[in-house]
Formats: sequence, structure tokens, C-alpha cells
Amino acid sequence: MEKQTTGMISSNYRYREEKPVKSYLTLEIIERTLKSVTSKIGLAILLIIVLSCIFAPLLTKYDPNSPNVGPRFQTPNAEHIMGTDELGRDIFTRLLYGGRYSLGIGFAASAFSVLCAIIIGSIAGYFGGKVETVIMRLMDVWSALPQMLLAILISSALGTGFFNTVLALGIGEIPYGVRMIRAQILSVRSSEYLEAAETINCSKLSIMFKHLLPNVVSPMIISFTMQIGGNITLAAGLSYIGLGIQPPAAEWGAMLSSARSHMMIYPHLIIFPGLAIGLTILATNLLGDGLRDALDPRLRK
Amino acid sequence: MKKFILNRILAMIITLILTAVIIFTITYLIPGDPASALLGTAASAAEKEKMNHLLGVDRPYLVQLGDYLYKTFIKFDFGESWVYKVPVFQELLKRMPYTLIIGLGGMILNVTLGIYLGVVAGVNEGKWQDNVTMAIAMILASAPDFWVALLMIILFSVRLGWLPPFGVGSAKNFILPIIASSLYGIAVNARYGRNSILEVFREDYITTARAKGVPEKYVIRKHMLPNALMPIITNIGGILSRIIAGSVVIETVFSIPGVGLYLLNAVNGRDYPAIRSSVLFFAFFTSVVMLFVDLAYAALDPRIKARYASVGGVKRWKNRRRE
Repeated sequence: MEKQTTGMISSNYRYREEKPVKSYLTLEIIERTLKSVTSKIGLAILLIIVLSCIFAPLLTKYDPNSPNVGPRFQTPNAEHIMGTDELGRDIFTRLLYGGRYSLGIGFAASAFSVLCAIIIGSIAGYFGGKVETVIMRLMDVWSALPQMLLAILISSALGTGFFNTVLALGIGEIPYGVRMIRAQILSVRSSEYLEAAETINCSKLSIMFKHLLPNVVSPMIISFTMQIGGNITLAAGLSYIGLGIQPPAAEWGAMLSSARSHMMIYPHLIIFPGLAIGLTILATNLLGDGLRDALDPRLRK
Repeated sequence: MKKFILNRILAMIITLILTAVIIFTITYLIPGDPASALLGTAASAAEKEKMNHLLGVDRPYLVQLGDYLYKTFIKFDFGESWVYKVPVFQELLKRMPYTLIIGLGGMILNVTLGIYLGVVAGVNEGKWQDNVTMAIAMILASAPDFWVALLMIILFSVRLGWLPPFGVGSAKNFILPIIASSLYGIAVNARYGRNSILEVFREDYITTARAKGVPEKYVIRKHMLPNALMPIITNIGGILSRIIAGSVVIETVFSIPGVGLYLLNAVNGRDYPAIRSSVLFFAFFTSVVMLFVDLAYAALDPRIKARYASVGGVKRWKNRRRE
């Protein structure tokens, strides 16, 4: 280590310099996000919901799918804090276990669409020319079909179930992400540091991953958070019309669907699953707003 | 302007054709042959084969696709429902009014109410009106609309008995579905409206208008609104496509025999012509509204009009964007 060439020293030096800058940035983003009360509330609600769904067995002594753990159609009481449903299953337990499906679909579908959008969008943005034109026209056509309709079509082709629902929802969301990433990349495409990278013969892949993609990280984080809520609603809607997750699985939309013939007399059957969906989406929306304010200073008032 | 409209219509037709290709391809990929779905499992192999031949689904992909596109776009023949043996177009015509009433009603309600709330919140920035409106918008954006629809049925139909819960018997039947389908849009438009009011609130020309002694009411209506409307108009497409797609769920909730419910039944019954035509109908409806939105946008924004004023202008503009 005593004798190093200048090149190595400089690259070593650069490496050391980069690290603290990065962690400082993440810290600052978290700090800035949590500065606002609303995003604190959002993050807290989301964490509580996610954790209680993960540790569901610790919070309830019932089984989500075993019928007759109590009398049927009980209104909320000390034994069953959210009552029981048409088969005598404990609604609170079903909400906790069902959250695994709903949240899982929400997160997985958003992650899927964001990943695809990053790949397609950066190809379009970086290569430009004919590739870009073809990709963007394709995205126009793609987004001419509303996401829910595309999801209905795709889930009718793939069938129901967790992974098929994730795909059905994720695919429909790709074009919006692609447009955003392309716009972001276009805004830096002609900047000098990219020219410099090209001059020193960086490979196209390394330019894309090292120099272009860091620019799209913050908009992608925002849209990922914002999409979770939308995807949970859409998944619940799909399950409600009988296409997403099938009963007796305890997905929130499926719970609403199976409660619909009894809701006139026993409103608590639909109130709690709906509240769970609404609260989760509220949390992601609050957090998403906070993230946007923190990451995108231009949008701050 | 004429050139802009022509360009726009041409683009719309091409998009629709490509959409039809996507719809066809997805339905083509649905596993299992339609004959077994139609005839049941008891049918013999020969019967199924005959049925598949009759429906034309035993032909290669490209032949079927070409046939479908030719019939749909050249002859305007949408085929016959495989399950009910009724021409799909006839069925769509019968069901279209319900979907259109709810969709357009929801659009009108959410745009007007959303803009109103947004303006109220924007001009009272930081005061209680602002906080209340934004809280309402947050809640409306978070609550799933079909769940709110169910709650409204319980409250207004079952408990209070004011409005009928299901069906399409009278005009009263449409009140709840229209409200339910407008909720999300109200939230979005209120937020956009507030933001854009805030953007123009301290612009110089607003100060000028106030300095001239224009009453605040007219400052808002004549000077702020036209500029504040632009982002809302841009955003209408997103809300519309959500309402359109949401109609499948809303029509299920309220048992309304519209195109959405037709599509759902077709998906469950593997009724390919019905699936394709009803999805294409939704795509057509969306793109027609988007066409009008774009025209309205062009009419409001002199820059877009200028772009198509002369051929040279178009070229100059395109070159500038490339750089």
C-alpha cells in the first residue's frame, strides 16, 4: 500500500469521498421527510399496519379461516373486537391476515412496475432516436387502456391468485413510470458530465447505471409510494368483482365481496375491511406527499 | 388549427387500432379453448372441434387478428356474443346510455366541485377553509370509492330510505352511482386547483388587477381561473380513465346493466367478442374525450395554436425540442 500509482490514489480518494456524501443524502432525505407532521403520521400508521400484519399470530388467538370461532354475525364486543362474519370467523383476525395479501400486492405490484419502468424508460431516454420514438408510441397505446381494464383483461387471461394479480396491476402502471423516467433522463442527457463519461469511454451500461439512474431515484421513490395505495384499491376492486384474490382467502376486497349480501343488516361486516383499506391508502398518501416535498424542492410551495 | 385537429384525429385512430391489437392479443392468450367453456365438460372432442371451427378460433393468430381488425374497423361488425347469440353492437347500444350517464355525470360533478373546493382552499391559504377542504380531499382520495358506495347504500337506501339501492328504474337510481364515481376526481381536482391558484396568487398581473380596483370576486373568476384551469384540464384524462375503468366495479355495486357489467359477465363467460368490443368501447370513449380535452387545451393555450399556424412553425418547433 506504500507505493501507489496516481490513478489508483485518485480513484481511492474519490471512492472515500463519495461514501459519506451518499449516506448524508439519505439521512437528509429521511430527516426532511419526517420534518412534516403529516408524513410522520403517515409513516407511523403504515408501520403499525405492516408490522401488525406481519406479526398477526402474536396479536390474535384465532385462525383466520376456521369458521365458528364464535357465534355468527356478532357485532363488535370484548371477545371479538370487530365482531364475527357470516361464517362465525373473527373479523379482526381476518383483517390482520388479509393485510398480508393486500399490502403484499400493493408493494409487489408497485415494485414490479417501477423496475420495468426504470429499464424501459432509461433505454428510451438514453438511446433516443428511433428506439425512443417506438417505445414512447408503444407507451401511448399501452396507456390508452385504463389500468383497471387492463388488469381485468390480464387477470382474465392469467387467472386469479396473488402473483397474477400483481402482474395484472403492475403491467398497467408501467407507461406512466416510463414517461416520467424518460423526461428525467432527457433533462440531463445533454449535460457535460455525461459527455465527459462518454469521452473517457465509459460503457453504455455503466453510463446508464452509474450516471443516469441516480437522477431518477427520487421521482421513482415518490411514485413507488404513491402507487402502493392505488394498487391496494385496485386489487380490492378486482377482488370485489371476483377476479383478484378469491374467497375464502382473507384479502380485504374479497372480505367486502363476501360480506355484500349481508351488509344491509350487518354493516360492521363491510365497515372494518373498508376502513383498513382506507387507512392504509391514507398512510401511503401522507407519506408520499412528505417524500415529494422532501425530494422534489421544486414542488414545494 | 385545422391541421392540429386532423393530426389529432389521425393519431386517435391509429392508437385505437393498436389498442385493438393489444386487446385481441391478450384475449387470444386466454388459456383453455372457448368451446369447452361454451359446451361444458360433457361435450365430446368432435363437438368441441366443430364448435372451435365454427367460432374460427382454430385459425392461426395472424389470420384471426387480421379478420378481427378488418371486421371491426372496415365493416364496423363487432360480431355476435358467443354466449347469448346476440350481436354485440346491439347489446352495447342498449347498455351504453347507463355507462355514459354515470361516467359523464361523474366527470361533470368532480370537475365543477373539485375546482370550486380547490379555489376556496387556494384563496384562503392557511385558514380553516383550506385545512378542512384539504382534509376532505385527503379522505376522498384514500377511501376506496366502491366502499363509500356501499356505505352510501346502507345510509341513504337502507337506513333513511331516500334513494333506491339497486337497478336503473328512475333518475333517482343514478344519484348514488354518480356521486360514488366522482369522489376520487373531486379530491384530485381540489388539490390541483389549490396548487395552481397558489401559483398565480402572487403573480404581477393579479396585483395589477387588484391595484386597478377590480373586485376580488372578478380577480378570481376572470384572472386566476383561466390559468388555474390548465393543469386541471391536463389531468382530466387520468381521472376519466379511472372513472371509466371504475365503472365495472360501480356497476357491480349498484347492479346497473351498463357496459362495465357486460364486460365482467363476458370475462366470466369467456365471451371473447363481447370482451373485445366492450373494452374497445371504453378505449374509444376515453380517446374521444381526450380529443376534446386536447382541442379545448389548444383553444385555451395560444402557444399550441401558434405551433400549427404554419408548416415552417411546426418544423422550427420540432427542431427546438430535439435540442
